[in-house]
Amino acid sequence: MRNPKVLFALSAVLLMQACGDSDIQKIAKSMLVVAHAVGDTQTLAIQANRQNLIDDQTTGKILSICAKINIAGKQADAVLRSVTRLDPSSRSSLLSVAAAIGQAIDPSQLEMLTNIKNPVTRQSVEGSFTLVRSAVSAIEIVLATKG
Amino acid sequence: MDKAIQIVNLLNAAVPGIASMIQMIKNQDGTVSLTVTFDQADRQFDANLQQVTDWFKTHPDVK
Repeated sequence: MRNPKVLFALSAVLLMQACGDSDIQKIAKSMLVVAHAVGDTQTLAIQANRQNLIDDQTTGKILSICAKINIAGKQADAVLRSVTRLDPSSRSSLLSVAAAIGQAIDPSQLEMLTNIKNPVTRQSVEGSFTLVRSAVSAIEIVLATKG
Repeated sequence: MDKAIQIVNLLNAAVPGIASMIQMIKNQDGTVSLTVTFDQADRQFDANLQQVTDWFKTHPDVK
């Protein structure tokens, strides 16, 4: 790595690529938002469960949905780590991951939230999932607009 | 850009793993923080999954 020619070539690559991975950056940041939003949702559900504001079955369903999103998120991270720019193949993989998250938080999947009788708790959980949905929509927009 | 990718591929063939090193160098340059972002997201997803696993362990009756 101390070879000046290699360093020069590397510098040239970096300069040429500097503008090329803004899409990857946007998606990576959105995935970080998803990760934190899902974490917040889980913690909220578990704390509410401890306080008997959410029953065990509903908490289990919420956490199962969160698990699906977490697994999909790790898949997206793996795809993003393996590329230096988004090509059709990586775009397709990321779209599949985004679709998986979208399905997990489809309104039909979240109907069980009506089991949460405490309105503040229910709105908080719904709000967390809305944040996840917004971040995923941002990813889908990036993938769709530059395809 | 295509030439840049070709150079990256050549470098990666000569020095496996250099692609991830490029991301680190970019990060030090202040222009890109991808590696950090990936790591943060990965750690958070892992912590989330562990939290889910722990809860289900303490609630074996819930599927």
